[in-house]
Amino acid sequence: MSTIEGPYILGISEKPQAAQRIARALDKNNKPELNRIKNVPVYLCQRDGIKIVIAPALGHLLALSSISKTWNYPVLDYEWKPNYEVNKTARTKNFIDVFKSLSKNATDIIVMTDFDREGEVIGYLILKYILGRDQAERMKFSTLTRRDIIKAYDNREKTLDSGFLNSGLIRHYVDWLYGINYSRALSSAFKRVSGRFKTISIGRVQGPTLNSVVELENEINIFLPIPYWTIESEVILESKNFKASYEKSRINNQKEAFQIVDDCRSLVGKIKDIIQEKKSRYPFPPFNLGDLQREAYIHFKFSPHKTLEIAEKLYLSALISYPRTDSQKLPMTLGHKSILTKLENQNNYKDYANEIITSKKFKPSEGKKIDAAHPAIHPTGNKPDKSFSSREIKLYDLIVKRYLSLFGKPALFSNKSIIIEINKHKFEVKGSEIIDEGWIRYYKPYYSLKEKILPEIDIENEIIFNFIDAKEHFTSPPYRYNESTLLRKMEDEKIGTKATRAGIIQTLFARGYIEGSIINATPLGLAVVSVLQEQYPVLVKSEMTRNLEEIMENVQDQKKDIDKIILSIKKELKEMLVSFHTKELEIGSSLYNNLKKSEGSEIIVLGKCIECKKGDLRIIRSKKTGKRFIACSSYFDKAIKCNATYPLPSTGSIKTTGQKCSFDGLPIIEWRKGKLKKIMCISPECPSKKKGD
Amino acid sequence: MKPKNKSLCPICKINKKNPSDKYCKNHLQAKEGLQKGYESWLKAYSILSWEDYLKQLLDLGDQVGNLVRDVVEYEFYFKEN
Ligand SMILES: [Zn+2]
Repeated sequence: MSTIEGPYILGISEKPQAAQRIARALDKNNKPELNRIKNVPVYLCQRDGIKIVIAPALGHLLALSSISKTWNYPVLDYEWKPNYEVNKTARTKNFIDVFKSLSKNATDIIVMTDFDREGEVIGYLILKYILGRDQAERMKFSTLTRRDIIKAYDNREKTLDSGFLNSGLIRHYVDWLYGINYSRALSSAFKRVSGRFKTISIGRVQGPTLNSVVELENEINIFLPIPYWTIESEVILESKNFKASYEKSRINNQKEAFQIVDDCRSLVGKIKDIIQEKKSRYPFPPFNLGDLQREAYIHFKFSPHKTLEIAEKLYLSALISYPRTDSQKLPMTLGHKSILTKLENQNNYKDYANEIITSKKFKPSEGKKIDAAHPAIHPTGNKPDKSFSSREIKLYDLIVKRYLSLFGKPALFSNKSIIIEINKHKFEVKGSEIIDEGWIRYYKPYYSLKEKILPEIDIENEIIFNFIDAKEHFTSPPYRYNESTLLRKMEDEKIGTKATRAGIIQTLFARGYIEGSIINATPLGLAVVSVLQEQYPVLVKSEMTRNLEEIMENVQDQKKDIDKIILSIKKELKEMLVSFHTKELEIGSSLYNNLKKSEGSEIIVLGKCIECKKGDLRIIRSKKTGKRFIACSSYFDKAIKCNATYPLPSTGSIKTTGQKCSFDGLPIIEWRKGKLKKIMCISPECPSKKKGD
Repeated sequence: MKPKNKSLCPICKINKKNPSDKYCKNHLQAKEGLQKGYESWLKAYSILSWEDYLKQLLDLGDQVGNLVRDVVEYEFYFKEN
């Protein structure tokens, strides 16, 4: 293997793209020498007469692995191993080899990974297990801009951040311990009853997250609508029609609702009061990751996972700051004037950036949330080149406009409310007039105010109603989660972290526990949760996960001794698993029964739908009612929502034939019941059925 | 026809927890909600027979939870003996 002549300082970067950026910033001529060693890009920079060699990792290069080779549980002892040995698909061997070979000539090591828990752990593991050292300096930065990187280099810390390191390590240990033991316990319970092996795994955070989906599903399944009434009315003000709202927004009794309408049958009221007040609205706080994920979901329908992926790319391209942050703070030290001046060079933002610079208001408004490591997500001012996709540009635009809005004046508007009384019943007409849009101009089209201007009118004036009616309604079931609201639920339940939540939702999709953009639990997901809820609720309730989360969070704040904490977590886990073991047979058989049911409702595809021409016609069996019918898969596609359904005989067996009906092109099925066998088109209206057979 | 199996829920044919129960655990829960809901409906309309209540729920279709709808259909079409 070729290598680089020493002595030099060796920099550990997290990813190849970051390595390149850092190297360019640190090299005195911004032209580091690129060496490809075993196909890994390694950069040699010259700075202040010193050689700096920067090599990238590929995220994690090591993974935890069980020391014992038996397939029992509990498994409580682990070791770090090259991750290509643990996971055969990991392509990290060359990266590890390169670090090993570069270590020989290195005088000092600088960890240059992202400044957060994962970055700290990645750097530490390479340092300790690949380079065989225990001392490194640490560069801390929030953007990959030249300015920040040089600053981070000049002010680098003498040691790694022990708070991040410990809280990162403890998370790896705990997730590994829970993941492997849950999975082994569940799979072995299943095997004991069924005699066959099937991996059934559910992580520490996945369990309660899946449980939230299932609980909501249960709530919807037993939902009962309750009737209520609203009073709908419209008045004429200066010959224009306006909606008026009744003093009670909801009436729970039909008689009362009808009585109100009857009391007001004259349709003539009088203005009793006119209330006018000025209101101001302040900008939304700067983006942290959760807020960005929500806003991107609302405006672009990006999943939280997608948003993080795009934000990461924008960060690696030095267009925005580090996205995995909880912070809603933007300190003045970030150099807002210089960021705004750079934004002024981008056509899309030129006018507003210029307006802000001219106003000399360089202090952005901020929110309350803080993050020890990073500020809120903000643009660096750098201009994206043509290589970015439209999705990336969309997210970038959202981030820039949010940032600009923080420097705007409060939006001012005047609210007016006209109170009309008719036979002692009060109605209100509400209007709103914008005086100054302030920051909202900068944030358009992501937020706008609607104006409704009411005419000038005097108190005691007589007012005519066009109508006053009672309208019957029924309460609606709760909405199912989408990826964005499920993420919010995880935040509320305090399970997972900003960096992991979106990924956990993805894992639930990947394991087949949930499906759809409007999230449903699959039969498999329902089966696993219902067994755990009944037999072993601790795995699906949020409490344990939340407590663990708190313990791990404290490690970061108080820099505690993690060995002690891990020991007590292991002890607790062991006790749980021992009690699981005593119930293994029960859990196994209830898993077996539930999975058998869920496998029984596996989807059978008959052919393409002739209505929407996109979806598949499938036999659906409702697990709950046992009823079966044929439906189009595009029913779940929001853009199509195909409603095609066909009935099926409620008993007997159904098989596909692969043939199409010559009359209507619909699939032909084979139906068998006892000795009876019938080959038929699925449509009850098919002409083939009208010939007497 | 097979003799009716007394230990199965008449709606979904899964095992009842307790043979003396009318339905399985899930459908029992739905039935409870249905009964509680009747009180709210009665308050809302002042006069409403159980039959009319079920009929109105059938008309509401999808707005009614699946399990509740199962029970409503069952009780409406297969009157109790
Ligand atoms: Zn049932």
